[in-house]
Amino acid sequence: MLGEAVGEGGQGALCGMTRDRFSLDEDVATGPLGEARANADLVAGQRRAFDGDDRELGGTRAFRPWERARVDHRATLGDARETRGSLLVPGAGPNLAHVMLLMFVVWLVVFIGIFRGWRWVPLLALANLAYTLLVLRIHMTDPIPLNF
Amino acid sequence: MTTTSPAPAGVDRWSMSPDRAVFFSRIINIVALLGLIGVLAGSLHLQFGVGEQPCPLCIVQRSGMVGLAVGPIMNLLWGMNPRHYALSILAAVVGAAGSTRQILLHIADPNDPGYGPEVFGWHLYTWALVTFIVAIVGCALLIMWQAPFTAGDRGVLHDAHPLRPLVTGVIVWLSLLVIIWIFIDLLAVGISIVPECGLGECPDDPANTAGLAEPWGWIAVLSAGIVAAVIAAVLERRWKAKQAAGA
Repeated sequence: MLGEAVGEGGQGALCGMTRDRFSLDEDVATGPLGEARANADLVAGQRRAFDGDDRELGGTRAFRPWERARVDHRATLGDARETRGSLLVPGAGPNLAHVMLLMFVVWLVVFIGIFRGWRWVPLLALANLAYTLLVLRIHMTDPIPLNF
Repeated sequence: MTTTSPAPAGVDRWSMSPDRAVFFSRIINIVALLGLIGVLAGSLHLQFGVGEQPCPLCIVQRSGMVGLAVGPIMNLLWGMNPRHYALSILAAVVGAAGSTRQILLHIADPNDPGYGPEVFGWHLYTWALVTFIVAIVGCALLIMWQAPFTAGDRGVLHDAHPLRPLVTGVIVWLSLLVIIWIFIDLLAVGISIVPECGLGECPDDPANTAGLAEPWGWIAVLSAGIVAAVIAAVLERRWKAKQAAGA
């Protein structure tokens, strides 16, 4: 039946047809198929190099550069925090330092303070700049996807 | 025998009275704030008009931009002081750290297309770094200009120029306009963080939303300027009435 046709003569016929249409030895190296194979080799090489680095870092990277899919940071947050390099205590949840809204709340207080003539406002502005740096530092030490 | 040499010819022509130096300093500070408004308005247009939600590093840079505005606002409301410029320099350094970090992340992977749209061939974080560097250089140059700091300036709301009420009024109105405009932009940035990030860290790669599209995005963003202009005009009239009552 069909299986027999494919198994016996069919497969050979298909292979024969393929060989008739493409000269594999020559075209694969230069044609679109060769390009695809070269790309696949490149990605595989990148993946091997990345995995090697990742093993050295303790498997902290949640993002793979060849996977362009969006990563939900919140979904990976729980595991990701229990890694070395993080400023947070392993296993602890997000704390006040992670409230990015706080930066702008303090800036609002600073602006109101300038209007009201509060003389301690420059100190508050300096403190908020230090807090902004802390947010940046947290962002740098978290094993976030490496492209944001 | 005198040891001082006579002033070279032409010095008087180039020297500037402290009052005039304060006047030009105020203009420079207003222009600087207008530039910052342009940057913030552009980012808000991308957020509300196009629907590109800001990443955490973008928010850090926005915080740096707002911090950059604190120095000129203090100069206009409290009087010219080198400390205010120093504060802006520190804010620029913090913002530049964020934008440098983002640039480095995106050039680390040669296949990385970068984050967000390009403007004149550069991504917004690259433009942000340029802005911060220009701010640092500009503030440093303005600190070197000593004349405005020797005038005893107490801010636009505290000096009366009875001979030039129109000029003074315009400067006060412009100063209030840019300050209130930045304040409204700050409110918009702050409030828009709540739905995106909640009370925590913002998502690394936030999903885009449906923007208001052209021209409604720009109209929404620039309407903040109209609101600021009206509030500034009301405040300026009240200030003028207060001055008249005190005179």
